[in-house]
Amino acid sequence: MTDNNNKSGLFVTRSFVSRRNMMKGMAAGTVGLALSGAMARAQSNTSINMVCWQGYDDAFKVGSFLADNNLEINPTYIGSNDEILTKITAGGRGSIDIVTPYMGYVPLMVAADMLESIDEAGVPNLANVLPVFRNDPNIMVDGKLYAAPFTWGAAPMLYDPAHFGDAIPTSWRDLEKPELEGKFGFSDDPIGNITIAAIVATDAEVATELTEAQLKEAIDYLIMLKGKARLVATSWGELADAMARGEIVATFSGWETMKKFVADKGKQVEFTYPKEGTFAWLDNVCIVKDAPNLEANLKMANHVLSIESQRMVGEEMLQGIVSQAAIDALTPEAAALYPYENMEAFGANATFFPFPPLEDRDGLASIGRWNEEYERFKSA
Amino acid sequence: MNWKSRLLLAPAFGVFTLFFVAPVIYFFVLSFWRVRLYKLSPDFSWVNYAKALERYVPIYQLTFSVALAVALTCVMLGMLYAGFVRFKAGRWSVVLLFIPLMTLFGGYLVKIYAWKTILGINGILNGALLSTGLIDEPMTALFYSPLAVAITLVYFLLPFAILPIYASMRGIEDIELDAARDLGAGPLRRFSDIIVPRCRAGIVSAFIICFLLTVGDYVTPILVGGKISMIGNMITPQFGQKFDWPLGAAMSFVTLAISVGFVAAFSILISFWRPR
Repeated sequence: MTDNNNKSGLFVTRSFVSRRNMMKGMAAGTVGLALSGAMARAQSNTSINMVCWQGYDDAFKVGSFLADNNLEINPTYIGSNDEILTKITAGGRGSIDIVTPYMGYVPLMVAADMLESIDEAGVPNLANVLPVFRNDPNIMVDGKLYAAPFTWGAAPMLYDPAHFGDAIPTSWRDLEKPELEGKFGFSDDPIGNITIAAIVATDAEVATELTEAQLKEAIDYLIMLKGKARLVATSWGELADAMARGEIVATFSGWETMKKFVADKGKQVEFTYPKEGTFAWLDNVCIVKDAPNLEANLKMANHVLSIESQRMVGEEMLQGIVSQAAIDALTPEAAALYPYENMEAFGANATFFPFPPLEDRDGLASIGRWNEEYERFKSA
Repeated sequence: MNWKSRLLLAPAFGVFTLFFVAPVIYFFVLSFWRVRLYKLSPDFSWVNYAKALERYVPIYQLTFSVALAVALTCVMLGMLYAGFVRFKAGRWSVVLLFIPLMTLFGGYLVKIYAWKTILGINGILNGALLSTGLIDEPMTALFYSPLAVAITLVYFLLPFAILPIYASMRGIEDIELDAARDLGAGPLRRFSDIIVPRCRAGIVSAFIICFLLTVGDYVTPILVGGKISMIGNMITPQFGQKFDWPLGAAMSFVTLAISVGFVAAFSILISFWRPR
């Protein structure tokens, strides 16, 4: 009997795949899938959406912090600080957790109701931040803290030592020399480029507070320089790539970390702060209004100010750091990159300028006018 | 058309309306609005169109010059290649037709990066010219220039020109060309009086595809254009960085209007091409 019942595999299959069995199987499968999905969700990490410069997310990944807190970072890289504002406005509110704007943007973002204030009790490592950064007037609005400063630097000129030999460039105006025509590049950074042009080519006392005439002079200078340049790159990475491939040998404006980007591609470049001066920047961890993971975001802000994260920023990304405890732990080589002992000396070459006025006032051109005039440079 | 046919078409019509017509209408309305402190503000102002037409004239000139050069080059090369495949290649025609198709298998960015390695200052072309002694130092004009943008786009778009032209040529019977030859028409006369008029639809299609894709391209100028910007490079930041969507929308509609003008002009010109 047994043989008869099982003599045909076809029979067995047919009898199993009856409509009733199929329905049972589907129901069991659905329940199983639902249960496994729920278990997977219970075990999965919380995804933190971050809008930042390329490489900044690495500072949050140092050590076992993310694993310990079941977090994972979903970064979106920017080409300019303006992109942060646009991404928040264009549907990012409620989904983006953390952004890393330059300090000048913080008052603008607070005015546009884009940022959550930071509960200082949730970021105890703020106590280690040097007062010069902790007390930056841009990051406090109406007595509330809106940003945790974590790294800083200046806009240097990068150059290829193999090309320059001992005659390294010392002035932004060196780029105007005929021998460098077609051998240097810009990054497409409106505020940075205009600020340096204002330092070099105008009589403005504060390079971010320009009259209409001074703004026009700065843009005219940029247009003249663009005529001699080889490249206006849309990102620091693209500019670094051009240096690595030998397309350009110097840059107008720059970022210290580009030295690492270029080194990663097998070429050695150096940076210098030209004698006319440049602008300094202070980048911050900010929490976006209606961020979905507020508690985790505070932990992350605290982590990026920890000694281990700050050391990584200072030693591997070659950027300035803000934590005194981490500065004390830096390697001598990394500590020598910035005048941590004497910030005034750094100020002689690089200035923390205020943000351009949000609206036209006292004869000064607003940030809107800066952007409009910059389009003249882009179109030239 | 009966109600069943209409019902079957409804999903396609719905998708087209939702994802194409509605966004176009939305951005057209938006092009008259203003932005105040990163917030869109309803308005009815022509100021964005005035800005688009005042500020970006040199960019429009460059964009449409490059697009015209690329589209015409693609059409001419496409005619030559498709003509060779259709009338001369014989049994190799399938293989020769497959070759340009193969280039479509690679990603768009891969092709651009490939040209970076070919045209760059330390690229393959400069290396070859230096090693043969034809030049003493690398040519910089090959890369980070409008020429580099045009070369890259011609390479990318040529298959899109070859295919519609070849499809048109398949409609030409060999006997028509044989008859013309028997009646004393030389190669140029056969090309002018038979091939071009019969391929008019394919030529116009090839031109439109290559022209519009070039006008709208903003990645190629970023990666190989150096310091030049095409109109796409000016429109993209209005949406991605500056949050000036109304200006970006106005610039897009101006670009669209000029493009339609070029396409219409080309279509009219080619329609005047008649056998002598």
